[in-house]
Amino acid sequence: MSEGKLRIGWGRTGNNNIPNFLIKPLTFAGNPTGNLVYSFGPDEAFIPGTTISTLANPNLKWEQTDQMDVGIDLGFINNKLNVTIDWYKRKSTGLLVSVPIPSSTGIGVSGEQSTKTVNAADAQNTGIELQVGYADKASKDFGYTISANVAFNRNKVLSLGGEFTAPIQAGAFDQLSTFTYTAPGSAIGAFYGYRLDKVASTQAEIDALNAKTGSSGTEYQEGLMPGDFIFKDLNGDNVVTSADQEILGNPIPKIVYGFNAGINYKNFDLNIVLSGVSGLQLLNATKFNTQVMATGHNATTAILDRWRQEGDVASLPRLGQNANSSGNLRASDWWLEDGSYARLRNITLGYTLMQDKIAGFAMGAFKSIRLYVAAQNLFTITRYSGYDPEIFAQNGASFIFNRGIDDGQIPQPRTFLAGIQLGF
Amino acid sequence: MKYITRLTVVISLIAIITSCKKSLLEIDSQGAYSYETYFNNSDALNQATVATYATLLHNGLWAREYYFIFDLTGYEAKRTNNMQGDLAQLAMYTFGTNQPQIGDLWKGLYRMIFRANIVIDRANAWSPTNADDQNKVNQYVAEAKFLRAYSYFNIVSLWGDAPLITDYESMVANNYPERSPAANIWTAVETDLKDAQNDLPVVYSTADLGRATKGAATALLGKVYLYQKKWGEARTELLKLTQSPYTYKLDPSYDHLFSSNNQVSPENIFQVMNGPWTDWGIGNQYYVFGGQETWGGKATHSDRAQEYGFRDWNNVYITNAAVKAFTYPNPAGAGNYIDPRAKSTFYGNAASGGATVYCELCPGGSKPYPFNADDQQGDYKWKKYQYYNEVDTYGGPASSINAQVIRYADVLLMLAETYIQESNTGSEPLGYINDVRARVGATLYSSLGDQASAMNILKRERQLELCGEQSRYFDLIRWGIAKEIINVERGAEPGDGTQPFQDKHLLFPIPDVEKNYNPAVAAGVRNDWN
Repeated sequence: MSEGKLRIGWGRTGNNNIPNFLIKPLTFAGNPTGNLVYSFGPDEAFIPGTTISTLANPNLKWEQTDQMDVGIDLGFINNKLNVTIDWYKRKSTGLLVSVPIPSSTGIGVSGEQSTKTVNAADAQNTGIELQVGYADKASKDFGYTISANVAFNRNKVLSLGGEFTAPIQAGAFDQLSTFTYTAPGSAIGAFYGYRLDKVASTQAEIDALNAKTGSSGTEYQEGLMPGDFIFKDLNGDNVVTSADQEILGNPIPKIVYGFNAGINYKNFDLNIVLSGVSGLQLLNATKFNTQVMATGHNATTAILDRWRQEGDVASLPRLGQNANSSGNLRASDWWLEDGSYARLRNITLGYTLMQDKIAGFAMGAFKSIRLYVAAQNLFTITRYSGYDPEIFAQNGASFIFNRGIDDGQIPQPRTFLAGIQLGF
Repeated sequence: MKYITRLTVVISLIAIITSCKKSLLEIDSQGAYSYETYFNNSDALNQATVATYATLLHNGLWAREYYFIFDLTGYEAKRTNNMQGDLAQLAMYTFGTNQPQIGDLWKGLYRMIFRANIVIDRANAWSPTNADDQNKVNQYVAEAKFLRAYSYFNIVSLWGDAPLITDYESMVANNYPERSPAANIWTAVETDLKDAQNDLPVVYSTADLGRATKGAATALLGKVYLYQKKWGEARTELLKLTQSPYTYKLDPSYDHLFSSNNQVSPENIFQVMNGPWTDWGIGNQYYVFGGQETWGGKATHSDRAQEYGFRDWNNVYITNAAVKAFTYPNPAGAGNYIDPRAKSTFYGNAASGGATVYCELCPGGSKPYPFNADDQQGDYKWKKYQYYNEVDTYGGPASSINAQVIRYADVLLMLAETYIQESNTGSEPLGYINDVRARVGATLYSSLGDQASAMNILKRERQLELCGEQSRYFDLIRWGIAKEIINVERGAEPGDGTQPFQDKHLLFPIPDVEKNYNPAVAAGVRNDWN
């Protein structure tokens, strides 16, 4: 061992990034001001109106994060081998978020869900980060550095605070209802819904389920017909109701890892960056268009494995279902996919011509010339079937509550580069 | 020594903190005013009142969704193939708790209540010093109460038990209201309307045409009693409207009631005021899709004409069921009779009684309605609330035809019903029904027969007179015949043949926009519906 360091840190930080004017109600006369009008008189002239459209919250305070870190830095063999291990626990209280509130409050403008900015949630992240690096210059011509890192993280909501006790439901898309659910005990913005059993093959199968309910006329699952998804009865009462929903997974990766390597041999240099995540789920919302034929869009060939007639055993339901959440398209694990991926982010190969080789070129104007080829996102290893597993949040929505919802974001391109680098 | 150093640091920190002047920390918005101080004069309170009226045009309400919701669910309109997506679900009765239009209706109605509560809250906080201001404040509060009652009347009719929020402060204190029993909401509606009746003027100055009047409050109160089957009280209120100081009478021209200048008619009791859309420099033509008050510019027009118009977006037919209702046994003799209101209500062929020409006022003269006899659905299209008499095509939402919320013919038919419901089928109900028929030149009844016969006549009369005015769905529900009638009509309708109305449809589903965010409401929702 050539070096050893123990680090222990504790800190408290506040986030005062609170938008102005949230603590007291202000007038609203349209946006821009003056657009709020109604018509009176025989000529139906515009008469200006003024009201308020927000719910002020005088109790807002800074959000606060307590962080505890314990780390060890170790160096071996003259610091050729470096190892860093960190453990952290980050507890945030009073996270400032705009949360949806009941529409009966009347807050907001036309078409909008009512919201209020509150210190809504207390959440905790705990994790371990490990980094190992090795650098060596083996000879005059050959040197390399390799480093790998891996981080494990666990996110949990501790409470929703005194001001807001209802679970925060978000992540609705198209004509479907919400998919994410934030409540104490689970991860922030976790996916929530039903568990899919299978596609009902025959009427007899449905009759058998209905018979198990014990009372004639009671359906196991409302409106269930052959060719529909059968959802699981999780609470064992032989009927599928909203009580049969549970946390299905979450979009926060359990493991984040990366790998870096740089190799120099004579005039060649090679650089590789690879990164990936694992242990998360993504909601593939593009299935709404590509796999169910509910709205008259083109579908993918997946649709060929749909239920067509009595007795079919299929993976997708029949055509012509409702494009709403009351049937097959309700929030369920059918939408979720493993979002793990490993991606070769960058690979670059270069060759450098030094001064002695190019002295006669361009009257010696250049000190060096480096030629290189590079590829970004050359390949991605994933089982995710959407465009790109590397997505953040639903288009234009909150990263906290709408994370991991893939509604067809533009995927990252694969890029090939070739270049000449001139040194003067 | 160390201790002293620390102490010094602490003291100097305190000194720094306390020396920050409060005025530096408290920034006043330059773009808006404070709720506490702005509404302390009659002009500002007027603006708050105008903002309450403005919600009549919000999503879910009269600029767009309101007529879709009730024409489709009441089966006066059915979809053409142009109508897809969420509206088609409404048309097919496959809507769930996340149906956008129903969620928007809930949101719009409660936003109206919120803004009404603001008027009342601010009026209570201001003490005017002169009588003129005091009168104005009384009037604004009365208008707010009228609008709040109108909103709760819709809510209780459609959803039954629902949150009842009657003041601003209690909402601020508790954002998670429970549902109140329907009976309490009806009581609150009656109270508001009686208060409004006291303080609203019979007429306004010309410039204020369109504001709620004493007559509007009286008519709505009569309707509220009627919906609760309080026949005697309904009659008392509605009769007031036939006497001084009121001067309501039926418009000599039925067509005028649904034309571009329908804001001036002796028959109007309460309308939604839709001003014309003129150009993009003034306002956004498509504001009805959620841009009310926020997408550049000012606009108050309706997109009904554009959405329903056969020369434009052509989203709906009038149903064959509605068309056929205009042909019925001749009140004075044998055989069938085609009601003259048919040609004011829809375009069709001559046999249906509908209008067969349009563009009567166009420069090139009138054109024949291109009735497609091969259309399996029956090619009948809406004429009421269209202005194809003036132009060949609209090219975009721009209609200034005001929506009729309550008009005098409705009052006369409600009056007739109060008698018939109490088994009086004599000269009073006969007279009111014949008044309404005489205006359009329809054959008069010589008698209404027994109660069952009289009720049938009355039901048909409401169906025909108020066709396409978002009355039928409410009527079918309150008469207790919605399931039977709608399933029979749809079963027989070409291109339909379904019987989608289930018992649960007697009430609308509590929408996700409430249920998902309000545990106090969610706890009481039965069967994921209401």
